[in-house]
Amino acid sequence: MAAPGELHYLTIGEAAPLIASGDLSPVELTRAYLDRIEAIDGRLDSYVTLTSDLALSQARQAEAEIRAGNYRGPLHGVPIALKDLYDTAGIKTTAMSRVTPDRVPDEDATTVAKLYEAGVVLLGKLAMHEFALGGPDFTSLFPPARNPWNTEHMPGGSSSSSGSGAAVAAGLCMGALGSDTGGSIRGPASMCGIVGIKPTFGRVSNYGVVPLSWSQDHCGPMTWTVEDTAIMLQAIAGHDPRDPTTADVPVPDYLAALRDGVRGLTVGVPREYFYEEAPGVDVQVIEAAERALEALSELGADIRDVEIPHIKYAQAANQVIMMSEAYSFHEANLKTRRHDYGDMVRNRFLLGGLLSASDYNQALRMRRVIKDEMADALHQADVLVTPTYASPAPKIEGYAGGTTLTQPSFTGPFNVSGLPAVSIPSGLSDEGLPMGLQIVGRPFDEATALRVAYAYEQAARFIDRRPPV
Amino acid sequence: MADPGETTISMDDLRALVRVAGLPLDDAELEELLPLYQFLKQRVDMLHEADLPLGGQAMTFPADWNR
Repeated sequence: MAAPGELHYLTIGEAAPLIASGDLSPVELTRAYLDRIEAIDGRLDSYVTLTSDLALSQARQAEAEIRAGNYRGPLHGVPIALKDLYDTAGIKTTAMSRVTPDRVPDEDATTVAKLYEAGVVLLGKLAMHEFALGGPDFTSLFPPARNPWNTEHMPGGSSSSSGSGAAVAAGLCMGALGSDTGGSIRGPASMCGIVGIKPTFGRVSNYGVVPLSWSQDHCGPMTWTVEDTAIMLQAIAGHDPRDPTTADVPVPDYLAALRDGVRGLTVGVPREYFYEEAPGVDVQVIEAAERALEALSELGADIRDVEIPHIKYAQAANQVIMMSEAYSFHEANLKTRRHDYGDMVRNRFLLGGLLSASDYNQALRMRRVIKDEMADALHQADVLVTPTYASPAPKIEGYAGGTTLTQPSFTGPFNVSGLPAVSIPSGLSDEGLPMGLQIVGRPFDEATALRVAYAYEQAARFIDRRPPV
Repeated sequence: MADPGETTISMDDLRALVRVAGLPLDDAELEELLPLYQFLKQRVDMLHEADLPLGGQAMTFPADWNR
């Protein structure tokens, strides 16, 4: 997939055996990434903190360990980066906010500790929307990241893992962690033409990650290929005693069934809401999803329509739960120093203070109904398939803050239910901007969602085309 | 934000809500918040109008809680 001399476009799956055999030096690889960040990130603003010294030190350590015969696995010596809400001991973690511009955590998030254990090299911390909400906002602590497919466009719409999407797509890291409360992993994955998974709620620890909505936050990886996402998910998944929301269930080998194909699997298609023309929905994303369904059918999957009767309420439930829980976390600061928040996120958080206990409870009741209905749909199908995002990436300039409230969300419903959902590229729009396909799995069955994603990725081959940066 | 002519809440209503919430917002901030709140209110009303089965959230300990 990478041309000669383009180390930055190696996938993790390609680099790992070369690193293991000693044919690729983690130090050389890390230097290639640092050079590329230096050369082009001024146009993308995907990084907010670079950890060059740490990265080179970790790369040297990885190289020494591998030479000594202590190869840890496919992430050993692999340069990655983190959305700037993952706590990193001794490294600034700002959540992109003037409320916490100098915050330096004492310990690593569980996911970060697990990645270090797997031997990764940390290149730095990535841009996001302030406190993981809203859209691109020039009043936040750092400028918003830009989309490498067209720098006049945003990398994530209302989805906040914007720097993670931009950096992975532009070859500025081999993989990244994002977080997803209403679609913030899957949105940038869709708009940047990469892969991202929101695992099942409870599959990956949220300990040490700045919260937005405790009951809907999900941590997950973002990479160029499905295989790489599986590799990163393997490293971070599992029960964490420090996060009581994590489930004590076995973590399967995500690579084991990846190449098993889709023959014999049933793909459920929830046509209502996800495939309907509506204000804010670009018909191109629906057409791309329809083409993907045809491709999956040709690959041997059984395609079947399913119903989720209360689906039209899911976005409202997602937003009410999110705003209520976010307000709980930010209330004290909003009452004493609200002008330290950027304009967009401040208004959104303030709305949470105007919701009543009854509003919140009604959203929770709706969540229970939607979860049951999605479970029913997944009794009829192994996965559900929808478009990921309602449109390709919007332009940054002139982006209206309210858009994040009004545009239909195809991702938020699965934060409400907690089901695992992966986004993979489904093609380019007429404007040359990526679009995404969302594959939703049964609870704790990320493996089947990744298997379907891999089959479509290999058939469609959108991974062969990189952004023009 | 709300559809034209579909004002669901007035500025005075919003001012009262903000006061109850203990938020010290000035008039300019309220002006900025009003259309967003009007839109959110429509979404909230939608949730309240939905016909949902009675019953609260699951609070039962699973039978194997002590294993």
